[in-house]
Amino acid sequence: MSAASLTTSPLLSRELIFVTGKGGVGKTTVAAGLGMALAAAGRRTIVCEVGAQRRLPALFARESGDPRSVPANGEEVALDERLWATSIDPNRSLREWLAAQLPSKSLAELLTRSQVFQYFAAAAPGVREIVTVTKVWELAQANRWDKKAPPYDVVVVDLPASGHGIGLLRTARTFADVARVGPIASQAGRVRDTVEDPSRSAFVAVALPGELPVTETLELEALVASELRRPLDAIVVNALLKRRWTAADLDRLEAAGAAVPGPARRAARSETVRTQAQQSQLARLRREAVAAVVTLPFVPAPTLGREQVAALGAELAGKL
Amino acid sequence: MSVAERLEGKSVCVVAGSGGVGKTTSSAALALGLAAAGQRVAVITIDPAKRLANALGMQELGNEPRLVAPAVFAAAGLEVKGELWAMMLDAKATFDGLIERLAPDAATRDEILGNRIYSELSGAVAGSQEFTAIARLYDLHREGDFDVLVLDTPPSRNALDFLDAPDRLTAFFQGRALKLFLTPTGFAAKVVGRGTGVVFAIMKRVTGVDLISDLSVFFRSLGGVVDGFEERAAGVKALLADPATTFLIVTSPQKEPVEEAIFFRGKLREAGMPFGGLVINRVDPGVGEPEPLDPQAIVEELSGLLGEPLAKKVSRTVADAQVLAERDAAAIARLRAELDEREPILVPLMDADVHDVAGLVAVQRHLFAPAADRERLLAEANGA
Repeated sequence: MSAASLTTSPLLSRELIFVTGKGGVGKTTVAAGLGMALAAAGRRTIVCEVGAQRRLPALFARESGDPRSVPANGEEVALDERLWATSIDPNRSLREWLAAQLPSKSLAELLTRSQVFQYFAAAAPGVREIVTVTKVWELAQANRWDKKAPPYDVVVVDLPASGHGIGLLRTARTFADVARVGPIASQAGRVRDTVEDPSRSAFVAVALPGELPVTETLELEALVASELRRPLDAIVVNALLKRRWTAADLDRLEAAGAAVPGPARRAARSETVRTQAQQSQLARLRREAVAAVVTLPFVPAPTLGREQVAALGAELAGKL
Repeated sequence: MSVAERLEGKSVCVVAGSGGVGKTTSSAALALGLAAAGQRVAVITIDPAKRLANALGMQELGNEPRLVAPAVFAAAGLEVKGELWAMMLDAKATFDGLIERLAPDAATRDEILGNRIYSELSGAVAGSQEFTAIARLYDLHREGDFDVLVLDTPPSRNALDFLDAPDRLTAFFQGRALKLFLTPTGFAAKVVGRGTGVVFAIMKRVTGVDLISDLSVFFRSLGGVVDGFEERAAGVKALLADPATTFLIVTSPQKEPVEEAIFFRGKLREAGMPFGGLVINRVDPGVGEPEPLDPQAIVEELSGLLGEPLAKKVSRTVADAQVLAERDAAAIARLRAELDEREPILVPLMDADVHDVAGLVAVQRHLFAPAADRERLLAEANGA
């Protein structure tokens, strides 16, 4: 994929790309793969993990024990040319935000060191959530809180599972409403505007081609529309099996009977049944979803290595 | 040991595992098996698949268990001697109900339920679903209407949130934080009154006056329910550590869920909570095959009969399936060693999606089969 094809993709040219979906569908793989593809195409990219999931390190490691792991302390770690990764640490993000809000560093320190404030931050509902979302947003801003920190062209966010992830982003609107005026209200309002603006952020849902995940993806699309007042941009159907077997092939196999070993017949039959079920769910998703549906192939491997993740990312970037 | 033996004498079974491993279906199948054997069982699920919910009559459910008609299972060939009840957790309703019960008077109750912070944020906060799930479990346990309660834990990537929920809540209510906010001369008073401290002045400046006064009211009114919350959190903790409670871990053979299962087992051990067994779901049926086929030999042996292109297709299909069977066999071996679990219960990957009554009955059959039969069932699934 070339840099030119990326700039023509309206989705991939946005500053924030949120990757969401149910647990176990391959969200982290898609987020990591997209990050690699964007960096390869020349954009300063950071892949961002929220909620201390600790899944990125394994995907980015070139081999086990790779020292370039991603610590959960909010540090931005360089992984490759133009590619960074980070795991949001809400406490650190809160300190950074305060330092940027208050006129002097000593004032911010006074506040963060005071017990009253520490209790307040720990006890007030939603503080961790709003701070996390705000930090994700900040990574993509031209003017960073830390004036010396260079901005990223694009932030790819690996969100927690569907409902939790949307709930997390929804806190921006909630705080903007609840606080009404003051720095929190205006800050939350700016984050909300970005999250809800389809020209600045993108939402990519990852799904598997099964009845349950397809139904949940359709529900997720409705949830994004109602909670975040914006459309889902694309749905990635992951791990789609190749259509290898035709009905005629199977007939010939069955006709051969016991000459073909039982497990071989089972494998062929099972693959065919699963492929058919997948295709019918994929068709249903295409029929009922508003967002564009793209697919990624099933990779028959015990675990995905960095090369395979990069290949999937490049394939996906070409389709979005 | 079969699941039935593992769960003998247990009155609470918590089903844990990472998202996407089939936890909800396993929970329902587990409850179904226990009910089939004659017990009165309630399964508390968080977010069941629509078709499963419809099949079990849960779609119109509020926050109360409802009896699933035995005829539903009779049609799928399973006789249910006991009773299967099912309910879908409504986190917000559970939280509201808790406040209603614990509030000392109507004014406090209305103040909390009407508070903007409470109504906007009580559902958004991480861990609130975990907390309400066990709060509901605790209530049902205390009411004592069921022989066994099976709890499907929330789809959280980190199942630990669930174990930590009572502690976290207790820490919050016992912590100096809340006390500080609640004392007459404390934070709330200073904010609502004319606080002059530097810290309050800076905080007001950062948060804005509206937000901080809403928060103060929220904390102050919560003060009225603190004692009830503390007592409940202690009760929940005791229930989770009770000998009649057990945790069943469900995983799929994929890398991340396996790591999470190992991690969770360690945390159970640390917390002194009982581990009842491991279910490995969606295992490639080929893992039980003592002598796997040689894909290369298939091409040679079958080319004459089927023609080379078709023989090669068979060979490639078998090779792909074997990669998964090998992955699964390695995962099972790792889980056996790490969890010190000699006999994990294997449920094969089924060709059809499992989310209807027939699928549930099939999973139930694998879960409850005696050890000797389980191997045969797996071999059957592999085309024997």
